[in-house]
Amino acid sequence: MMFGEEGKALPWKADVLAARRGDHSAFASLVRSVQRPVYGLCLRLLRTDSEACEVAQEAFLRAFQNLHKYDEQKPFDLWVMAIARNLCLDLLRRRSRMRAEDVQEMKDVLPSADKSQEQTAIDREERLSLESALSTLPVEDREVLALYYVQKRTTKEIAEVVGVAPGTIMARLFRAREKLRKQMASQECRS
Amino acid sequence: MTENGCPELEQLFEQVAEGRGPLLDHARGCESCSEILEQHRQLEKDLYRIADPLPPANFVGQVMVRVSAHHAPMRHNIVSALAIMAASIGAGIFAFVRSGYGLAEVGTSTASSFMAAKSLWLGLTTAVSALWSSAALPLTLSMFAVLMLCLYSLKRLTGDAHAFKEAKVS
Repeated sequence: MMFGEEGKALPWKADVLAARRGDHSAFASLVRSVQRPVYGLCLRLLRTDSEACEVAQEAFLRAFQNLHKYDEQKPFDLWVMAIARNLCLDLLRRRSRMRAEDVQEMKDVLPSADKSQEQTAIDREERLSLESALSTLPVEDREVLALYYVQKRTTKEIAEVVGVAPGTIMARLFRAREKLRKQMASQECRS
Repeated sequence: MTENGCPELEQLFEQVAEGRGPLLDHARGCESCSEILEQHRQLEKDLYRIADPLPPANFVGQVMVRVSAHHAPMRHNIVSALAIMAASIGAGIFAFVRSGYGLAEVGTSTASSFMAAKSLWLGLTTAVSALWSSAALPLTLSMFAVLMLCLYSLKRLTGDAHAFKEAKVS
């Protein structure tokens, strides 16, 4: 295993170097290792699986085309996630301009491959109502909640993906969680 | 402070994160603040239990198809462009040397081209002003129609599903 300047393990470095030399199987290995968080973030932001899949694929393609710009001392997954996030925000801006067709709600999409594992952890009904409340939040709230709680990222890592100072992430998290709490409370009142 | 004497939630949660502070003492004795803190704790617990869904089974394969499709033509295009450029420059130099013209002939032909262009420009402006004085409205309408058609075509061209190109690569 390779180590960076600060002694951190750099598991992606060998594959990145090989992919830069044109080794497609090395790049496939990189995609395999980070596909889940990248796709997960796209799905949280876009809320439709077809768009999430398309944008996540585009993000990997951009990553491949710009591998020479990537600093291998930094985590590869965060770099690809930052690309994917920019693409998602781009698409959301375009979507808000067009707003032509109805989108399929994410709650219909999310109970997927991890179903059995999740069902043992949390009741399906509760999880669906949480997902549904989560999907009503603005995109900037969804992204910090998804990165912090779902992907278990540190505030420093989130700051790197989102492109803000790490100090602002905790405040954003609190505000997002408060909005979610109020949304959950109003859902409970309605039901 | 809020109307009922409770602290602002953001300040309260700052102290919760630090693990100490006077607002925490208030929260311990306040039913409303304790309830909100408990709801946040429960929410965090539930959020931590959510997992990212798996991408479709053929996701990696689809990415690699796109990588292969985009990579090969790009390299191929650069090679082709360089070859065409080199061939054009070579042909130009060859034609110049072959014609036996010196620099003086090049200067004369440039000056005559300039004079011809000037005459062409004069002719064109005269024709346009004559057209404008005789049929201004149809001319304006047809120019407007052409402009609209161009704008519509541009919109069609840029509005496709692959218009992600502006996104930053950080």
